[in-house]
Amino acid sequence: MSDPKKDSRHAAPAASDFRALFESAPGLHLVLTPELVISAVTDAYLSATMTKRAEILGRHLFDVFPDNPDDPAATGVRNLKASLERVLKNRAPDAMAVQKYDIRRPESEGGGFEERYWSPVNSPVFGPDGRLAYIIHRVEDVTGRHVAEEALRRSEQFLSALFEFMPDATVLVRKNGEISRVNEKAQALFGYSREELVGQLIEILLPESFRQGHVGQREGFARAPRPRSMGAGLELYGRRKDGGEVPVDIMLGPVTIAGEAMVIVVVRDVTERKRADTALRDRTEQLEQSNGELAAFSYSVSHDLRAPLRAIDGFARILREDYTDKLDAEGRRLLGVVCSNAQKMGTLIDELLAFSRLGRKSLEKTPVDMEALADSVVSQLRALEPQRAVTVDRKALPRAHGDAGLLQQAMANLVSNALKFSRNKSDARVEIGVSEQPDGAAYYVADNGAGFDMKYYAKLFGVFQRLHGADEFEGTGVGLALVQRIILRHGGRVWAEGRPGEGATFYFTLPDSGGEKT
Amino acid sequence: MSAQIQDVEILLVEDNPNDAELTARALKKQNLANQLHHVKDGAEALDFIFARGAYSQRDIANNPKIILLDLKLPKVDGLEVLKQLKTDSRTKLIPVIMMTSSKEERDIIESYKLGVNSYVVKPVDFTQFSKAVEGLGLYWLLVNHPPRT
Repeated sequence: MSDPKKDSRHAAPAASDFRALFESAPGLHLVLTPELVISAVTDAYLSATMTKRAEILGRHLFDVFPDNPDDPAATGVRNLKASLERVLKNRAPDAMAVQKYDIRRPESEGGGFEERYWSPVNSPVFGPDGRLAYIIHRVEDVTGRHVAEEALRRSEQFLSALFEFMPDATVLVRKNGEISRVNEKAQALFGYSREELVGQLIEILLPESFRQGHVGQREGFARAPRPRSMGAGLELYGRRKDGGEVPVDIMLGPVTIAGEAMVIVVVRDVTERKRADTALRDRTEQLEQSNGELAAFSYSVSHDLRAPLRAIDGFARILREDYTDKLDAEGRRLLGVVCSNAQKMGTLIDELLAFSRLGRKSLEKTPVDMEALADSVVSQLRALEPQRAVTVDRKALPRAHGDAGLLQQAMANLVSNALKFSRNKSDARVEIGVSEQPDGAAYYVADNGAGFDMKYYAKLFGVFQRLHGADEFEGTGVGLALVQRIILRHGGRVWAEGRPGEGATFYFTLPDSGGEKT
Repeated sequence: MSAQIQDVEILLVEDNPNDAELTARALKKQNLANQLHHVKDGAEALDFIFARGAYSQRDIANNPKIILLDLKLPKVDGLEVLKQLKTDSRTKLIPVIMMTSSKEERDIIESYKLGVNSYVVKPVDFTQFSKAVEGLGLYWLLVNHPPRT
């Protein structure tokens, strides 16, 4: 530059070149008149705003760049206008905060508006007379950066909220055992404030007797970190600020945050669960005990109640056998009454025991062919009274799912009742079928026998409850109670309908019984 | 009804005197009661079988031909008696018929686990008793009173 000979080669551009130079300059620039009419624009600006020079020169700024009509919250025009007015008034540059100012997309590219963020600066240009001649509006398109920052901010907010509002106390711990972050629940559980915990060693949250051992365990974990629950099978306790100890479950999750190996410690207060566990255990113990007592009771009944009966029956028989010549007919009849009552009581004991065993026995469920089951019950019962004239109509029955032995017993009790209570009818009829109920198919056993009065319905399924005198129809009153117990244990329903002298129908449902015919 | 203690063919272990009488009577009808010895509890049964205490004079090698054992007994119960005599090589071959008041499954299972030979439900009438004995192949041995060797 010191050589004046070189001046001609380094002459200033011709005045006509300035426009071209400006238009090609890097950066997004727009030149406005004080009336905000666009008078020059760089190529970069045109490209960033998807406009063409010929279409915008000479037009008013806000005519070319209106607000996005689809964004009711748009403030672009208002903010820019305010900034430009400040420049006009103050005659000084005005830097604006990052603005959302959407850009109209040309119709050829689908129309509408594109979301954009800008960082604008408006600077005055003064003429030789000192008057404000132009405003240079320079912007930087920060949309990409803004979107990335926004995503990061949202993700940070999300993670922070996640950490903060974890339902369990959560503590982020550095490799050296120092607490780096705690959430709301951790403060509540341990009674410390955030400030009191951050920077402390994690051992502050342990009962004193565990602290020393824990340092070694923590270092061991740091050497081979993997997600796991702590002290599997052990009772763990946390220590509150007030010295109180809380039973807890602890999950450890190794994480790397900004290159630093850390551990997320999730601490769950299990006070409630412990209490529930204890209550449940106590209750189970009580139930087991009373079950055991019940079993012992019925065991004892089955052995001890029978011994005197055996003696009554046995010695009455001996009397009848050995002293038969010394007894008259009435004496022998009376002995017969003694024996038959002793036997009847034996039967009662047996049935009662069967009934109580049923409560303890576990069900062995299999598919059950109810037609075969009913047929076998009917033929066995018919064999007991071969002379009996009775019509048994077994209709098609769907397959059931249940304990075959128990269902057979239930069916046998119902059919045997039907046969028993219809025996005084000349045209006795028993029907076994199925009827559709709201909760599925109900099997039924119907007879046209003695029936019963619905007003005694409440007694029908009770143990040792009978609706007929012993001289009318024999029985112990256990049969229907047993049926009910079997069906209830299967999760089904049992009910009956009856009319005195016209017969009775007993229904039962069994869950999981298929609709398909067997 | 007590036979000579050296020459017992049937040992009846039964605490209930009525049951004992009914059982003895059923056997007596078949002329089986004259070599029957009756003990009233499990402890006495073990003394008899192992020739101890009051029975120390008895020759242990001279086993009864059959033991009728009640399940529920004072002092030492039937299952315990069964266990002891089935685990002793000197006595484990003596056939044992367990007598019980009930058909409680767990009693039956436990008895068979311990090696009982048969199981009858009281009252022990002769038909049932003979079925149990027949099953053991001892029936004619007992009924016919074979000469002792």
